[in-house]
Amino acid sequence: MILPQLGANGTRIRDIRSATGFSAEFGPIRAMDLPRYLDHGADDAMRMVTFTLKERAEVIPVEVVLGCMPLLWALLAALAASLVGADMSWAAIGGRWLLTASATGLGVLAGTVLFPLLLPWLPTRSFSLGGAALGLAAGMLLPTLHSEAKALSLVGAGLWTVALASWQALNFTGSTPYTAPSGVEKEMRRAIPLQAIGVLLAAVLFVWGNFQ
Amino acid sequence: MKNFRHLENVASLVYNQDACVGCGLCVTVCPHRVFTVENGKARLLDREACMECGACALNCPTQAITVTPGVGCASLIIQTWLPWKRGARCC
Repeated sequence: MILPQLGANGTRIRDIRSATGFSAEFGPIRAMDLPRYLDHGADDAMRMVTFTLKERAEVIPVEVVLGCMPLLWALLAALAASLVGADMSWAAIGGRWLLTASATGLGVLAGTVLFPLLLPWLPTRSFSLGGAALGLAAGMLLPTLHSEAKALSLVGAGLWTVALASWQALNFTGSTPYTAPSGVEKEMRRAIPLQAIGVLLAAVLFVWGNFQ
Repeated sequence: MKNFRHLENVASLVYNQDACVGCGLCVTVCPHRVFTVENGKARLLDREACMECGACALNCPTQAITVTPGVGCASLIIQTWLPWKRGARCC
């Protein structure tokens, strides 16, 4: 029996003979390498995982689909925060919600789409920090998109973009083939409190700005 | 995977060279080429590349390698933190 290499973390290969009577070996990682493996045996390249641009792009839809429900909740929360302001007309509420909705959209774009694509070129190993930086870059678009909004509200919305992008990027750890749980947990303990504070501050600044 | 690195000095991987019999299974199964075999013994080549999948520890015939296996996934780890979540589910 030739088993795929990535089954090894769940398979103690010497048990296979006693359990089935078959002798077994770990073949390559990828099925397309099987012909070469059968002819020449394994080499280092066959036994090493990669995370190419194509492979990273392929997991983006996974993150997008998994993020659908949380996105819905985020937009509802944004709507709630948009309800209060000095101007309570429908037009004003609509304008405020557009700001929070676009801040949400930009955060998701930065953390879920841009971050995976740009991962190897980001100057930090930290997922949450890389996501935050991309969120900041995306958030820079908000003043242009919403020139009529109050400065404080824009800062609040931008901070929401940063925190959201950071959170999305942190969750990308599960889609990579190289993060270890020890490292991820360490980063989570540092990043999540900061992200939570960021969200709180964003809400405060946004609502405060709406009363200016 | 040389250009993909996460945090340093956190992996729970421990290797006891005295117990090693040089079978080479750790080299075969590791997706990040953490080990190599030379002079009849395994040697750590790139400890910081370890993603704690546990394949090496599971297959080592003499338990020369220990690691706390798991998945480097923030969503999964959060589920283990939440007291009301019974049994962490993988998405």
